[in-house]
Amino acid sequence: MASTLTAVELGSRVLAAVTARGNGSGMELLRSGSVPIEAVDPPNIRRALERCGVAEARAVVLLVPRGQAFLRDLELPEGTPEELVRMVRFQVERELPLPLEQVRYSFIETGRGGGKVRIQVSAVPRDVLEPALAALEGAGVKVSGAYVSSYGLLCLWPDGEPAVLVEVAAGEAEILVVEKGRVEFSRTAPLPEGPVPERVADEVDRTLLAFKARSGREVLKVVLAGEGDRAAALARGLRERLAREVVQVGPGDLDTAGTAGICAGLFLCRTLPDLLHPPGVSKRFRITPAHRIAAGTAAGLLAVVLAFHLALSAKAGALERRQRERDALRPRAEEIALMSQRTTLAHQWYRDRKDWLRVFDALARSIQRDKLWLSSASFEENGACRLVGKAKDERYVNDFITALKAAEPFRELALKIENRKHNAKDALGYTEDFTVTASPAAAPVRRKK
Amino acid sequence: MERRSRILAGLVVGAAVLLLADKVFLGPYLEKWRDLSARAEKADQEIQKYRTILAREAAVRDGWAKVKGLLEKPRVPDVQTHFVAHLGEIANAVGVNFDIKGVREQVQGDFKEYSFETQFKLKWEQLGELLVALHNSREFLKPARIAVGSQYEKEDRLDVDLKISTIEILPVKAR
Repeated sequence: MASTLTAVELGSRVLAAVTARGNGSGMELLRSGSVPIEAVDPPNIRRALERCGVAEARAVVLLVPRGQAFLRDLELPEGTPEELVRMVRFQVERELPLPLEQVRYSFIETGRGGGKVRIQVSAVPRDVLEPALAALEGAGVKVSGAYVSSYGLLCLWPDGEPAVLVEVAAGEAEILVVEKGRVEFSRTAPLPEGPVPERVADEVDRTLLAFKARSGREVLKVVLAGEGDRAAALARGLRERLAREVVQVGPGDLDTAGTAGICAGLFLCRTLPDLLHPPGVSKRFRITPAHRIAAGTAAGLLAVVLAFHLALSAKAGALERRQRERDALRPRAEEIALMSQRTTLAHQWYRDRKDWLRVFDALARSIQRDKLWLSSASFEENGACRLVGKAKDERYVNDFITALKAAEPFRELALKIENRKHNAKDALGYTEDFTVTASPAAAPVRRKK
Repeated sequence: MERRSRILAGLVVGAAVLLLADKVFLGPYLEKWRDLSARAEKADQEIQKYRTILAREAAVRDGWAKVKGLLEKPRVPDVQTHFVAHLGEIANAVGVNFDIKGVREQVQGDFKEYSFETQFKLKWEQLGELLVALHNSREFLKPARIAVGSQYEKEDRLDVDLKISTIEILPVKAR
């Protein structure tokens, strides 16, 4: 609730306005006034608001005079709020003299017991309410709520003691019989001659008689809305005429008390039937098995997605840690690998160089000197060699090859006899010329199974 | 729609949803998972390799320190001259005359290699002694090729072509 609140009661001939400030325990009236208006249109409204001293108000609540509204009491079976809304709508349609689409209505619950709910409906014809709203909006004022003026009067007597509430303003009297904070009976009466005590007393008498005839109950206390001299004089006159206790309630004077009452009720957070915001059927969400299945499926999918995300994050984290470790090791490892490579290369010239003596030794052991001799032999670093020679017989060449193959340095080489030639004219009897090549490239010869 | 058709339609829709979920959701996740696994495995292998290398760090550093110490021994006036002098000492010891036909230089990694082509005549015994001397040399020396030629009944006169190499470590700026 805003700390200040402006209420405007807009009748056909009079505008009453009140600006009040809430102070925690109640309210403080800041400005109030009541002025006659020529017509309900924006310029007249603007002027009237200025004259009432509330022209700066940007948002107001609107009070519709009781004479322009319908109030109905309904007794309905207990039900859920949604059911109540539907039942009220049904009853309002039956009870009001206008079609439902031509009125705006709202309701409040006024009592409950014995399986019944008491509902009070307030309704205003649209052709009354909407021009008033349009005129206020046209005057630059936003209307945040609209109430029937009876509830302003009711808010002035919140104690619940049975009483007749009387408001005399704008040329008419509004009379409510209230008990326990609810309106039991209400009526309005025109007062063309103004607030004359005799005339007002007569209307109060009529109201009490009508109420007694209907309910069989007597109400003793009369409450006059308004403070100030005019209200006090009227209260004295009523007291004399009615021979009953007449008390005055405020804030506000005779013309603005009801308007101030609505401010008091709103500051005290009383539930009032707002014509602009009636209780509606709120679509209640019910959880069905289908919802549960859908929610379960969605939760399952979400869990799977989450699990995948977590697993991927964990794996990515582990990978990052490994990569960091690798990156930390790499420079030193590469340095050591390079060092090792250099050392190995250097050792090929120094410690691990080829042992040529073993090659020559194996070669010497494989030759039968009286049957075969070599005219040249060349040896490469990679182990390849080429041997050229002569033999007295073919079989000595074969023996030589066999012996070479068995010798350790040649065991890993592929031996091949090339350029084999028979030379019968050799004077020394070495008739078989041959060339043997040993090649490491062709060494891994595998026999087919 | 009859019950059978509804069931079949449900199955088709279910299969389509599964296929879509596989394409849209499971596929990319599994792809990412496989990618991460492959990268993790590769990283693990590299870490293992580096650790294996580093486990030998002390020995490698020690070995390299020795080799480097030898390579950086002062050789006067330079490696080539020093090495020719060393070959001369070996030849003198064996009793042969070296005839250096040519020298070739090439870079191998962080080293510069000098290859000497030599030609000489000697006896079998001298060849053996020469090989022993070369093998036992404490210099950075490597016989890269040997070709031996002989004539029948004249085995005491062997014609030998010997290619022999040495190295020196390259200065850093030359690498």
